Amino acid sequence: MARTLAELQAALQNDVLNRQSASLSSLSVPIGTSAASRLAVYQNAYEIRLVNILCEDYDTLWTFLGDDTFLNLAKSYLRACPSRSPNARWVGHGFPDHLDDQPIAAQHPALPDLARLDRAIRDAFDAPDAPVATPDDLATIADHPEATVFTLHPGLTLLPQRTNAYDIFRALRAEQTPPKPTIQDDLRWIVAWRRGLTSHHTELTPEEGTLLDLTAKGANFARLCEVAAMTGDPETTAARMAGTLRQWLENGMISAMGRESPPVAGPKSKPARDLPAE
Amino acid sequence: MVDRPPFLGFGLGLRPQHYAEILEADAPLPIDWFEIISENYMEAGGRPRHMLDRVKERYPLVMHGVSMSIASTSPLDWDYLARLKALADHVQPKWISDHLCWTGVHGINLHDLMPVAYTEEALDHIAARIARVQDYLGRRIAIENVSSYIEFAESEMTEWEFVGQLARRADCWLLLDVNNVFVSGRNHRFDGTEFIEAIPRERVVQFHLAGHSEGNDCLIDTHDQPVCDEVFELYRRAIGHFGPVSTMIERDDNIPPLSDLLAELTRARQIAQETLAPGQLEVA
Repeated sequence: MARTLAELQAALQNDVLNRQSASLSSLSVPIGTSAASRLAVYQNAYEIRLVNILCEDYDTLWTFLGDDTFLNLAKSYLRACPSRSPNARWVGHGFPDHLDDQPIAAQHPALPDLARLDRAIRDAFDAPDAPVATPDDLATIADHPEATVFTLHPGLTLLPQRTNAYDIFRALRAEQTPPKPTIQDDLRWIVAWRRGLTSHHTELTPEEGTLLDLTAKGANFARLCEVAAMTGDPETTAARMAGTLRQWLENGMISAMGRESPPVAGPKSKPARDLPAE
Repeated sequence: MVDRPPFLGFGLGLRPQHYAEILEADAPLPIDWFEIISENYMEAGGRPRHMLDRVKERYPLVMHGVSMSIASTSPLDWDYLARLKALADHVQPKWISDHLCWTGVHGINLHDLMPVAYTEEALDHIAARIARVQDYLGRRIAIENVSSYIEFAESEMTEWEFVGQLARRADCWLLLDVNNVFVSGRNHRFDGTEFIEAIPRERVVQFHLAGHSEGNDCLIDTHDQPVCDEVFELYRRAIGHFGPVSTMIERDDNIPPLSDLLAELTRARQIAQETLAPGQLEVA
């Protein structure tokens, strides 16, 4: 009995995703050729295309791990999380979280962190455009500085990490030998963002990282000052805050500032993962 | 068909590797228009949108998508279509195209152009979906024939009969990919000329010319090679049959210098000039 269109599509999709051959009886190929071989064109293309997307999106992690390990992880991700987006740009979005659950990440927690660095820089590349506030705009909040909240640029991602992933990342980007992956006692704050058309990344001081994290969560300037007074010398809080704010503005990290308006959902601040004790 | 889109001339697929050369050329380039991959510009900002806007200031654009999945038996993806419509509102393309294929069912996307069974059931299903999409977008879309490596035993007609009937039933345009006709013709042992001559003339608004590779026992539509002589010869027959139709070189991988693609475009232009009467190739 002839299969319906829905049955044909479901069977072929399953064969492509899982390298099976249940649809072979529905396939017609010329004499002298093999239906299995023709089906394999789709099966191979699927795997190659999507693995290539992961290679591009996570090129630093790929370089660090080498072909075999990276390809195995990529294939395990694609088996566990087949694409559900019409846009190939989103195929690899869940890869860092998938890595968290792999045995290799339990051994080397820096690997998912490295993937998150790649992802953050990739996401900054084509994040929505937004206005960029400048130091001159500080005049607009002069009459209500304490109640001011800041909207971070939608291309900004703040990554709190307890590994040396950023050291590995910078070494590989500079084509130098990377250090071995390690867990670190202190939380490190890495930020990726876009200024103009170019993606940037840097490591923040612990105080700056904490303040940017609070900013992303909607804290007003008074709250930021309060926290700064607790994390550093209270005598110099005002000067430090002025310097930090000016630096964020000069870097193009802030899109807008105003009285107690909630920040947009775009900027992402990831929670630090709980790591096993060494 | 009074509102058939204009003949745009000879164009290229817009690729990031060529942005600088296109935008910083001292003299006008011999390119009449560009085709963009819609999905590459659906995210709102950054360099892709910036470059798109600059190219848009200088050249006519058409939009070509890979994810409409018009033949899928899963529901239409209205979120995708909303993004497509928003991009079209921004780009103001001369037309919008996608493929006669499905890219997945049950919420999964294979990111490939999966083949269709040429059945009455499929005709009804796809024609109805094209009509819904056209209603939503407020314009006719162009549907492109794809390369395929398998056919379904369930098929009740040839691909060219299916494509022709679909265009009439859905009242849509067609984008005829000459390389895909050649590749599928070789893979399924049919004559590309027979395919071309069976397609309704008044429906075809665009030609694709592309390269392919040799697989184990079939040709594979890789778009990573120059257009081969046989595809150019099939193009000669196509433009002779359909008359002036906007033509472009579609290269997606192993991207060469722009000059290489311009040389291929010049060859297409020469073939059209040799085949059509003087004056027929005037760009609207």
